[in-house]
Amino acid sequence: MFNKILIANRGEIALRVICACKELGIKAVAIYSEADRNSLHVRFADEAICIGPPRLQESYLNIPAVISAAEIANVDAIHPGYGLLSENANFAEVCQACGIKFIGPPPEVTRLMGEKEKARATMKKEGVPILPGSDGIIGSADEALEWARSVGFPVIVKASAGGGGRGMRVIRSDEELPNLFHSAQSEAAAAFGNGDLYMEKFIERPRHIEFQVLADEHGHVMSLGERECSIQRRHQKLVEESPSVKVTPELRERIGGILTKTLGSIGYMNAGTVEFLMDEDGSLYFIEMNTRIQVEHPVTEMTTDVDLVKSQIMIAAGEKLSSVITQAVVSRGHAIECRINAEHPERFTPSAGKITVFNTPGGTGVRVDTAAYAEGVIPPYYDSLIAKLVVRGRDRAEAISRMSRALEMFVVEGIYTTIPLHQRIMRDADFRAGNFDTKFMERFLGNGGGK
Amino acid sequence: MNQKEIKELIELLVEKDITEFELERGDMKLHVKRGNSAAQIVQVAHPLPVAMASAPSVPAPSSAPATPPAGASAPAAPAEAPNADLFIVKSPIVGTYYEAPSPGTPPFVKIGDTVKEGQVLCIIEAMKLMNEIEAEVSGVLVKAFISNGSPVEYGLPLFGIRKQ
Repeated sequence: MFNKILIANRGEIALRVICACKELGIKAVAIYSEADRNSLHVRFADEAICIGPPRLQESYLNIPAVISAAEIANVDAIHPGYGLLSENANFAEVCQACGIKFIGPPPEVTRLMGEKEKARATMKKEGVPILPGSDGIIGSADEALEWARSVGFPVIVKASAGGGGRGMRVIRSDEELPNLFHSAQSEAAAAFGNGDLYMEKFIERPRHIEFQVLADEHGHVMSLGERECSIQRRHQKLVEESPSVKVTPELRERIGGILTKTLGSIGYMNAGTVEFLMDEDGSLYFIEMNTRIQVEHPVTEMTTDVDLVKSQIMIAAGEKLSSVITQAVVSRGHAIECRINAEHPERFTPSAGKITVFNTPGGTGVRVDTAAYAEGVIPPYYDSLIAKLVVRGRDRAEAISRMSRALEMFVVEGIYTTIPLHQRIMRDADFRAGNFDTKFMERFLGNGGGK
Repeated sequence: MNQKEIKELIELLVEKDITEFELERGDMKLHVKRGNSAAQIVQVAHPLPVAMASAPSVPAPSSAPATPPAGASAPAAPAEAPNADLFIVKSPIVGTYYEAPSPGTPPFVKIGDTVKEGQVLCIIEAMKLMNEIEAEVSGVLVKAFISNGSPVEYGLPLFGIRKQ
């Protein structure tokens, strides 16, 4: 087992990894930028090293600084958390070269899953259902029309060279295809210097369903069930839950089996999440894989009793999955997570500054993952997530009622938070009925946001 | 600006956790800076009534949690109160501090030396690369905060130079 781990992250996830380290008797080394000098993750680590000024590029994303800190602290392994360097294959390689164990999959696998087209092709070959897409670049509007007709409208054209919505157009009929195709091409050329487009089937009202997996370094893989993350705003998840009301036991088992086989084939190791879109008929289509621990991992931890971060560490230390997960994984009850952001609950403008009051809810089935505290200052340099409120109930109705109760007792003053927004979501009839898709928030906010 | 106004201003800065503030009004200039150590520095360019000299000192927020455990890093600030003449050379990178070009050779500088801007003061080794750390000002090297072979973090004070 490792003696010392450096956590290459900040905020609540850094604290989360420190928790796992403490419980495993491993020394935790924190790194921090000058803006995070008074952070909780610095406070609770065994050692802490300042690695740069506030800007991410000069601190948490500064690979030489992170590795240098790992070297002077003489650590055995680095846990990258989520975001930041967690899916950076170069960083994983540098760790390897320096004799430091990177807690995650091997760099080649990270790289493979990081290239969307390659990931889709690999999954398709292994029998994972993928969203029908063009096998490569579509050269002309005529080719596009032919392909769209064979797959069925609606379709979406996307830029091959980049994302962020640029060079992207949803096409719903023959008539509008040529114009939209050409305007997507021009936009892509302008944004990325490359007008190449590929096409995909487009689902109007998709649900976002993802599967949590764990794999050891000896070829054993297991699926820990799904989470539904359809409540999103501008592609940022707000509320996640498990199980999904739309996933039947049969579907869960079938997809779980396919993923176990597939990830074993490609040599996947450590924790990961496979993301799917579900169409209106309940079919799942692979979209991408995240080769790291996710923000919403507590949702799965609450229903399965598996400590995913401890599992990551044990796996990286060479333990077999059968020693890490000693009992059959059973999902019990229903868990929901609300991501609390330091933002105005209606305008969504970021709200940095000093928290004057911070009262976290407790009681049965309530978990709060946060690095915020009263009198603490939320710096303006990093993302706005300040807390994850996770509840578990015996069923979905109890979980919702518990979440409403917990939100009401979560008092934060001094900054704006999205707590009021989550309270309104919990009261929404469609949400309560499990009747939603990824366009839910658009409609919800468009209809006045439940006020 | 009278003493009451300055006191209110300072309380506002503490409440909003502002570290540095400058105000120019007519021929009056007020510069307030808050730091980790006890005393604050209030510099006033224009001569003001004697009452200004007794403006209240403002500590850093006392309700912040205990400063991080020392661990691999030396304390973040020098133990003495800051001296306005002393330029503190801080480490720009994370690594290991070496006082000499190689083991056995004489150190780059010693206390009492006069140093010129741009002169190499020490080496910080990071990921097997030797980085030369240069003096940003000219003056006399009066303090060294670090010992040979110690690990250094970003921003760690290395030397104090009395500017000339």
